[in-house]
Amino acid sequence: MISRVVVSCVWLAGCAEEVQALSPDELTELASRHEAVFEAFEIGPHPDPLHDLLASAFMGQALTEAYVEHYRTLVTLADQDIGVDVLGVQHEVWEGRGMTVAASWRVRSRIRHQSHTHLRLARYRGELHVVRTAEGPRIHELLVHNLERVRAGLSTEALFEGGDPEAEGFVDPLELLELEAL
Amino acid sequence: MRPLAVLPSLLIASLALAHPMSRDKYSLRTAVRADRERLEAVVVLEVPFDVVMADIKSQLEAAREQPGGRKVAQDVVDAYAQKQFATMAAGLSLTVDGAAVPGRFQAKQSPYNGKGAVSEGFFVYIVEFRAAGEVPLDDDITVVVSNAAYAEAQMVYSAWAFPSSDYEVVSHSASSKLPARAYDPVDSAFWVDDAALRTFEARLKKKTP
Repeated sequence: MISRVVVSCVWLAGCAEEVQALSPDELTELASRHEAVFEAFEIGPHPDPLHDLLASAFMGQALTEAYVEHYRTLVTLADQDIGVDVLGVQHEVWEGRGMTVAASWRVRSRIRHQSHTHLRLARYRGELHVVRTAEGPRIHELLVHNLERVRAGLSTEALFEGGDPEAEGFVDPLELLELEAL
Repeated sequence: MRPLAVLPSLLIASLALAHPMSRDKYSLRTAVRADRERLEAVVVLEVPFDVVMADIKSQLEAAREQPGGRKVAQDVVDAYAQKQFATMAAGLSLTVDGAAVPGRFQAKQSPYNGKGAVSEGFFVYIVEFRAAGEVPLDDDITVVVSNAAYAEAQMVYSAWAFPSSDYEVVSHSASSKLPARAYDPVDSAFWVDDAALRTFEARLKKKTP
Protein backbone atom coordinates (compact mmCIF):
# COMPACT_ATOMS: atom_id res chain seq x y z
CA MET A 1 0.00 0.00 0.00
CA ILE A 2 2.73 2.39 0.99
CA SER A 3 4.65 1.66 -2.17
CA ARG A 4 1.53 2.34 -4.27
CA VAL A 5 1.12 5.74 -2.60
CA VAL A 6 4.75 6.61 -3.26
CA VAL A 7 4.47 5.52 -6.85
CA SER A 8 1.31 7.60 -7.26
CA CYS A 9 3.03 10.67 -5.86
CA VAL A 10 5.99 10.25 -8.14
CA TRP A 11 3.70 9.80 -11.12
CA LEU A 12 1.68 12.90 -10.19
CA ALA A 13 4.82 14.96 -9.73
CA GLY A 14 6.04 13.84 -13.08
CA CYS A 15 2.77 14.90 -14.70
CA ALA A 16 2.76 18.35 -13.07
CA GLU A 17 3.50 21.01 -15.66
CA GLU A 18 6.79 22.69 -15.05
CA VAL A 19 6.30 26.43 -14.88
CA GLN A 20 8.87 28.31 -16.86
CA ALA A 21 10.56 31.11 -14.96
CA LEU A 22 9.84 34.70 -15.87
CA SER A 23 11.84 35.76 -18.90
CA PRO A 24 13.88 38.99 -19.03
CA ASP A 25 11.20 40.51 -21.30
CA GLU A 26 8.48 39.59 -18.85
CA LEU A 27 10.49 41.06 -15.98
CA THR A 28 10.90 44.29 -17.92
CA GLU A 29 7.22 44.42 -18.75
CA LEU A 30 6.29 43.75 -15.17
CA ALA A 31 8.59 46.51 -13.92
CA SER A 32 6.89 48.91 -16.29
CA ARG A 33 3.44 47.83 -15.12
CA HIS A 34 4.47 48.12 -11.49
CA GLU A 35 5.83 51.61 -12.05
CA ALA A 36 2.58 52.61 -13.75
CA VAL A 37 0.62 51.78 -10.60
CA PHE A 38 1.90 55.02 -9.12
CA GLU A 39 -0.02 56.95 -11.77
CA ALA A 40 -2.99 56.31 -9.50
CA PHE A 41 -2.08 59.55 -7.75
CA GLU A 42 -2.67 61.43 -11.01
CA ILE A 43 -5.99 59.75 -11.61
CA GLY A 44 -7.45 60.48 -8.22
CA PRO A 45 -10.59 58.83 -6.81
CA HIS A 46 -12.22 58.05 -10.16
CA PRO A 47 -13.36 54.42 -10.06
CA ASP A 48 -13.20 53.28 -13.66
CA PRO A 49 -9.89 54.77 -14.74
CA LEU A 50 -8.36 53.69 -11.44
CA HIS A 51 -9.56 50.13 -11.88
CA ASP A 52 -8.30 50.03 -15.47
CA LEU A 53 -4.88 51.23 -14.35
CA LEU A 54 -4.59 48.71 -11.55
CA ALA A 55 -5.87 45.89 -13.74
CA SER A 56 -2.86 46.41 -15.97
CA ALA A 57 -0.66 45.27 -13.09
CA PHE A 58 -2.78 43.19 -10.72
CA MET A 59 -5.29 40.40 -11.04
CA GLY A 60 -7.66 38.37 -8.91
CA GLN A 61 -7.89 39.05 -5.21
CA ALA A 62 -4.80 41.25 -5.38
CA LEU A 63 -6.58 43.51 -7.86
CA THR A 64 -9.62 43.78 -5.62
CA GLU A 65 -7.50 44.62 -2.60
CA ALA A 66 -5.35 47.07 -4.54
CA TYR A 67 -8.40 48.82 -5.88
CA VAL A 68 -10.09 49.14 -2.48
CA GLU A 69 -6.94 50.42 -0.77
CA HIS A 70 -5.99 52.81 -3.55
CA TYR A 71 -9.48 54.20 -3.85
CA ARG A 72 -9.82 54.65 -0.10
CA THR A 73 -6.47 56.42 0.06
CA LEU A 74 -7.21 58.69 -2.88
CA VAL A 75 -10.52 59.71 -1.33
CA THR A 76 -8.74 60.52 1.93
CA LEU A 77 -6.15 62.60 0.11
CA ALA A 78 -8.86 64.48 -1.74
CA ASP A 79 -10.83 65.08 1.46
CA GLN A 80 -7.76 66.48 3.17
CA ASP A 81 -6.76 68.48 0.12
CA ILE A 82 -3.40 66.76 -0.10
CA GLY A 83 -1.79 66.31 -3.50
CA VAL A 84 0.84 63.69 -4.21
CA ASP A 85 3.00 64.04 -7.29
CA VAL A 86 5.12 60.97 -7.86
CA LEU A 87 8.31 62.35 -9.39
CA GLY A 88 10.01 59.07 -10.01
CA VAL A 89 9.97 55.36 -9.32
CA GLN A 90 13.28 53.58 -9.41
CA HIS A 91 13.65 49.83 -9.20
CA GLU A 92 16.85 49.08 -7.36
CA VAL A 93 16.46 45.31 -7.24
CA TRP A 94 14.26 43.43 -9.67
CA GLU A 95 15.25 39.80 -9.70
CA GLY A 96 13.18 36.99 -11.10
CA ARG A 97 13.08 33.78 -9.09
CA GLY A 98 10.77 31.44 -10.90
CA MET A 99 7.42 33.21 -10.93
CA THR A 100 8.41 35.51 -8.08
CA VAL A 101 10.22 38.82 -8.29
CA ALA A 102 12.38 39.93 -5.40
CA ALA A 103 12.35 43.69 -5.53
CA SER A 104 13.20 46.94 -3.90
CA TRP A 105 12.16 50.27 -5.26
CA ARG A 106 12.28 53.94 -4.40
CA VAL A 107 9.54 56.43 -4.82
CA ARG A 108 10.33 60.11 -4.99
CA SER A 109 7.29 62.23 -4.45
CA ARG A 110 6.20 65.76 -3.84
CA ILE A 111 3.51 66.25 -1.25
CA ARG A 112 1.33 69.32 -1.61
CA HIS A 113 -0.53 70.44 1.47
CA GLN A 114 -2.60 73.59 1.53
CA SER A 115 0.10 75.65 3.15
CA HIS A 116 3.29 74.02 2.01
CA THR A 117 4.98 71.49 -0.22
CA HIS A 118 7.65 69.01 0.68
CA LEU A 119 9.53 66.25 -1.01
CA ARG A 120 9.81 62.71 0.16
CA LEU A 121 11.88 59.74 -0.83
CA ALA A 122 10.82 56.31 0.40
CA ARG A 123 12.23 52.87 -0.22
CA TYR A 124 10.22 49.68 -0.31
CA ARG A 125 11.37 46.09 -0.30
CA GLY A 126 9.20 43.11 -1.03
CA GLU A 127 8.31 40.35 -3.42
CA LEU A 128 5.81 40.00 -6.22
CA HIS A 129 4.13 36.73 -7.01
CA VAL A 130 3.28 36.67 -10.67
CA VAL A 131 1.02 34.75 -13.00
CA ARG A 132 0.96 34.73 -16.77
CA THR A 133 -2.21 35.86 -18.49
CA ALA A 134 -3.15 36.35 -22.13
CA GLU A 135 -2.48 40.08 -21.57
CA GLY A 136 0.93 39.52 -20.06
CA PRO A 137 2.28 38.98 -16.55
CA ARG A 138 0.17 40.16 -13.64
CA ILE A 139 0.80 40.43 -9.92
CA HIS A 140 -1.47 38.15 -7.98
CA GLU A 141 0.21 38.86 -4.67
CA LEU A 142 2.67 41.49 -3.62
CA LEU A 143 4.18 41.43 -0.18
CA VAL A 144 5.89 44.50 1.21
CA HIS A 145 8.48 43.41 3.74
CA ASN A 146 9.89 46.76 4.59
CA LEU A 147 9.32 50.44 4.14
CA GLU A 148 11.79 53.09 5.08
CA ARG A 149 12.53 56.62 4.35
CA VAL A 150 15.77 56.72 2.49
CA ARG A 151 18.63 57.60 4.76
CA ALA A 152 17.76 60.16 7.33
CA GLY A 153 20.44 62.71 6.64
CA LEU A 154 24.03 61.71 6.41
CA SER A 155 25.21 58.36 7.75
CA THR A 156 28.49 58.03 9.58
CA GLU A 157 29.79 55.82 6.79
CA ALA A 158 28.95 58.42 4.18
CA LEU A 159 30.47 61.09 6.37
CA PHE A 160 33.84 59.39 6.59
CA GLU A 161 33.93 57.23 3.48
CA GLY A 162 31.72 58.98 0.95
CA GLY A 163 28.94 57.48 -1.11
CA ASP A 164 26.44 58.26 -3.80
CA PRO A 165 24.38 61.29 -2.77
CA GLU A 166 22.28 61.24 -5.91
CA ALA A 167 21.19 57.67 -5.32
CA GLU A 168 20.33 58.56 -1.75
CA GLY A 169 18.09 61.39 -2.77
CA PHE A 170 20.39 64.32 -2.03
CA VAL A 171 19.96 67.49 -4.04
CA ASP A 172 21.49 70.94 -3.89
CA PRO A 173 19.34 74.08 -3.53
CA LEU A 174 19.19 74.64 -7.27
CA GLU A 175 18.05 71.10 -7.92
CA LEU A 176 15.50 71.49 -5.17
CA LEU A 177 14.12 74.59 -6.83
CA GLU A 178 13.89 72.74 -10.12
CA LEU A 179 12.18 69.80 -8.49
CA GLU A 180 9.63 72.03 -6.84
CA ALA A 181 8.94 73.72 -10.14
CA LEU A 182 8.11 70.47 -11.88
CA MET B 1 4.37 40.90 5.72
CA ARG B 2 1.72 43.08 4.17
CA PRO B 3 0.32 42.93 0.68
CA LEU B 4 1.04 45.64 -1.83
CA ALA B 5 -2.62 46.50 -1.77
CA VAL B 6 -1.76 48.79 1.11
CA LEU B 7 0.86 50.60 -0.93
CA PRO B 8 -0.82 54.03 -0.96
CA SER B 9 -1.35 53.81 2.78
CA LEU B 10 2.28 52.89 3.23
CA LEU B 11 3.32 55.84 1.15
CA ILE B 12 1.27 58.18 3.26
CA ALA B 13 2.52 56.58 6.44
CA SER B 14 6.05 57.20 5.25
CA LEU B 15 5.23 60.83 4.70
CA ALA B 16 4.05 61.21 8.23
CA LEU B 17 7.26 59.96 9.78
CA ALA B 18 9.02 62.81 11.44
CA HIS B 19 12.64 63.77 11.09
CA PRO B 20 14.52 63.06 14.30
CA MET B 21 14.89 66.78 14.71
CA SER B 22 12.44 69.56 14.23
CA ARG B 23 12.48 70.81 10.68
CA ASP B 24 12.93 74.39 11.73
CA LYS B 25 16.05 73.90 13.82
CA TYR B 26 19.62 73.62 12.70
CA SER B 27 21.46 70.52 13.76
CA LEU B 28 25.11 70.07 14.49
CA ARG B 29 27.01 66.83 14.57
CA THR B 30 30.63 66.31 15.56
CA ALA B 31 32.58 63.16 14.79
CA VAL B 32 36.11 62.25 15.83
CA ARG B 33 38.31 59.37 14.77
CA ALA B 34 42.05 58.77 14.84
CA ASP B 35 44.42 56.28 13.35
CA ARG B 36 48.16 56.16 13.08
CA GLU B 37 48.03 58.24 9.92
CA ARG B 38 45.88 61.10 11.02
CA LEU B 39 43.32 62.62 13.31
CA GLU B 40 39.90 63.18 11.79
CA ALA B 41 37.56 65.75 13.23
CA VAL B 42 34.46 66.37 11.16
CA VAL B 43 31.59 68.72 11.87
CA VAL B 44 28.28 68.65 10.02
CA LEU B 45 25.83 71.51 10.08
CA GLU B 46 22.32 70.73 8.84
CA VAL B 47 20.30 73.73 7.75
CA PRO B 48 16.57 73.37 7.03
CA PHE B 49 15.57 73.62 3.38
CA ASP B 50 13.25 76.48 4.23
CA VAL B 51 16.04 78.52 5.81
CA VAL B 52 18.34 78.05 2.84
CA MET B 53 15.65 78.75 0.31
CA ALA B 54 14.54 81.87 2.19
CA ASP B 55 18.14 83.04 2.00
CA ILE B 56 18.79 82.41 -1.69
CA LYS B 57 15.63 81.50 -3.55
CA SER B 58 15.08 84.98 -4.97
CA GLN B 59 18.73 85.13 -6.06
CA LEU B 60 18.41 81.74 -7.71
CA GLU B 61 15.28 82.72 -9.56
CA ALA B 62 16.86 85.96 -10.75
CA ALA B 63 20.02 84.13 -11.79
CA ARG B 64 18.08 81.62 -13.84
CA GLU B 65 16.58 84.47 -15.87
CA GLN B 66 20.02 85.57 -17.01
CA PRO B 67 21.90 84.21 -20.03
CA GLY B 68 23.66 81.03 -18.97
CA GLY B 69 21.21 81.03 -16.09
CA ARG B 70 21.89 77.63 -14.64
CA LYS B 71 25.61 78.31 -14.34
CA VAL B 72 24.93 81.67 -12.71
CA ALA B 73 22.44 80.04 -10.35
CA GLN B 74 24.94 77.32 -9.48
CA ASP B 75 27.43 80.06 -8.63
CA VAL B 76 24.89 81.45 -6.18
CA VAL B 77 24.54 78.01 -4.58
CA ASP B 78 28.30 77.55 -4.39
CA ALA B 79 28.86 80.99 -2.88
CA TYR B 80 26.22 80.30 -0.25
CA ALA B 81 27.89 77.01 0.66
CA GLN B 82 31.28 78.70 0.92
CA LYS B 83 29.77 81.24 3.28
CA GLN B 84 28.46 78.44 5.49
CA PHE B 85 31.83 76.70 5.48
CA ALA B 86 33.62 79.92 6.38
CA THR B 87 31.21 80.70 9.22
CA MET B 88 31.54 77.20 10.63
CA ALA B 89 35.31 77.17 10.30
CA ALA B 90 35.66 80.53 12.02
CA GLY B 91 33.84 79.22 15.07
CA LEU B 92 35.60 75.88 15.39
CA SER B 93 38.75 74.97 17.27
CA LEU B 94 40.60 71.75 17.93
CA THR B 95 42.98 70.76 20.66
CA VAL B 96 44.84 67.56 21.42
CA ASP B 97 45.86 67.10 25.03
CA GLY B 98 45.11 70.75 25.67
CA ALA B 99 47.28 72.13 22.90
CA ALA B 100 45.90 73.81 19.80
CA VAL B 101 46.79 71.84 16.71
CA PRO B 102 48.26 73.92 13.86
CA GLY B 103 45.80 73.90 11.01
CA ARG B 104 42.22 74.90 10.35
CA PHE B 105 38.77 73.64 9.56
CA GLN B 106 37.87 73.65 5.88
CA ALA B 107 35.11 72.33 3.66
CA LYS B 108 35.36 68.57 3.45
CA GLN B 109 35.77 67.08 0.02
CA SER B 110 32.56 65.11 0.08
CA PRO B 111 29.97 64.48 -2.61
CA TYR B 112 27.32 65.26 0.00
CA ASN B 113 28.59 68.70 0.85
CA GLY B 114 26.05 71.45 0.24
CA LYS B 115 23.37 68.93 -0.66
CA GLY B 116 20.29 67.92 1.23
CA ALA B 117 18.39 64.70 1.65
CA VAL B 118 15.10 65.13 -0.12
CA SER B 119 13.53 62.86 2.43
CA GLU B 120 14.70 64.94 5.35
CA GLY B 121 14.56 68.58 4.42
CA PHE B 122 18.07 69.66 5.40
CA PHE B 123 21.13 70.76 3.49
CA VAL B 124 24.36 69.51 4.99
CA TYR B 125 27.53 71.58 5.24
CA ILE B 126 30.55 69.57 6.28
CA VAL B 127 33.92 70.82 7.44
CA GLU B 128 36.91 68.87 8.61
CA PHE B 129 40.11 69.76 10.37
CA ARG B 130 43.17 69.90 8.17
CA ALA B 131 46.41 69.97 10.06
CA ALA B 132 49.18 72.26 8.88
CA GLY B 133 51.60 69.38 9.11
CA GLU B 134 52.04 66.02 10.66
CA VAL B 135 50.24 65.65 13.98
CA PRO B 136 52.17 63.34 16.26
CA LEU B 137 49.70 61.42 18.37
CA ASP B 138 50.54 59.82 21.66
CA ASP B 139 49.19 56.48 22.67
CA ASP B 140 46.58 58.13 24.87
CA ILE B 141 45.09 61.37 23.60
CA THR B 142 42.27 63.69 24.51
CA VAL B 143 40.71 65.52 21.58
CA VAL B 144 38.45 68.52 22.07
CA VAL B 145 36.39 70.11 19.32
CA SER B 146 34.66 73.36 20.25
CA ASN B 147 32.13 75.21 18.19
CA ALA B 148 31.10 78.81 18.72
CA ALA B 149 29.51 79.36 15.30
CA TYR B 150 25.82 80.03 14.82
CA ALA B 151 25.47 80.84 18.50
CA GLU B 152 22.12 82.52 17.83
CA ALA B 153 20.59 79.60 15.94
CA GLN B 154 18.28 77.11 17.60
CA MET B 155 20.04 73.79 17.33
CA VAL B 156 19.97 70.18 18.27
CA TYR B 157 23.26 68.42 18.79
CA SER B 158 24.89 65.07 18.39
CA ALA B 159 28.46 63.88 18.69
CA TRP B 160 30.37 60.65 18.75
CA ALA B 161 33.89 59.29 18.75
CA PHE B 162 34.61 56.31 16.54
CA PRO B 163 37.24 53.62 16.99
CA SER B 164 39.67 52.79 14.22
CA SER B 165 42.05 49.93 13.62
CA ASP B 166 44.62 51.80 15.69
CA TYR B 167 42.71 53.63 18.40
CA GLU B 168 39.87 52.66 20.68
CA VAL B 169 37.52 55.08 22.34
CA VAL B 170 38.00 55.21 26.09
CA SER B 171 35.34 57.83 26.76
CA HIS B 172 33.68 60.85 25.28
CA SER B 173 31.55 63.68 26.56
CA ALA B 174 28.42 62.73 24.61
CA SER B 175 28.14 59.33 26.22
CA SER B 176 26.30 60.68 29.25
CA LYS B 177 23.78 62.48 27.04
CA LEU B 178 23.16 59.94 24.30
CA PRO B 179 22.07 56.28 24.36
CA ALA B 180 24.61 53.62 25.28
CA ARG B 181 24.28 51.69 22.03
CA ALA B 182 25.72 51.82 18.56
CA TYR B 183 25.59 55.34 17.20
CA ASP B 184 22.65 55.91 14.92
CA PRO B 185 22.03 59.45 13.69
CA VAL B 186 18.65 58.35 12.31
CA ASP B 187 17.46 57.70 15.83
CA SER B 188 16.13 60.85 17.46
CA ALA B 189 17.48 59.66 20.79
CA PHE B 190 20.94 60.50 19.49
CA TRP B 191 20.04 64.18 19.19
CA VAL B 192 19.69 66.44 22.18
CA ASP B 193 18.84 70.04 22.79
CA ASP B 194 21.90 70.52 24.96
CA ALA B 195 24.38 73.20 23.97
CA ALA B 196 27.03 71.52 26.10
CA LEU B 197 27.66 69.36 23.04
CA ARG B 198 28.99 72.41 21.24
CA THR B 199 32.15 71.26 22.94
CA PHE B 200 32.97 67.63 22.41
CA GLU B 201 35.75 65.85 24.22
CA ALA B 202 36.95 62.36 23.38
CA ARG B 203 39.69 60.27 24.91
CA LEU B 204 41.27 57.80 22.52
CA LYS B 205 43.81 55.16 23.34
CA LYS B 206 46.08 53.29 21.02
CA LYS B 207 45.20 49.64 20.79
CA THR B 208 47.67 47.17 22.09
CA PRO B 209 48.85 44.76 19.41
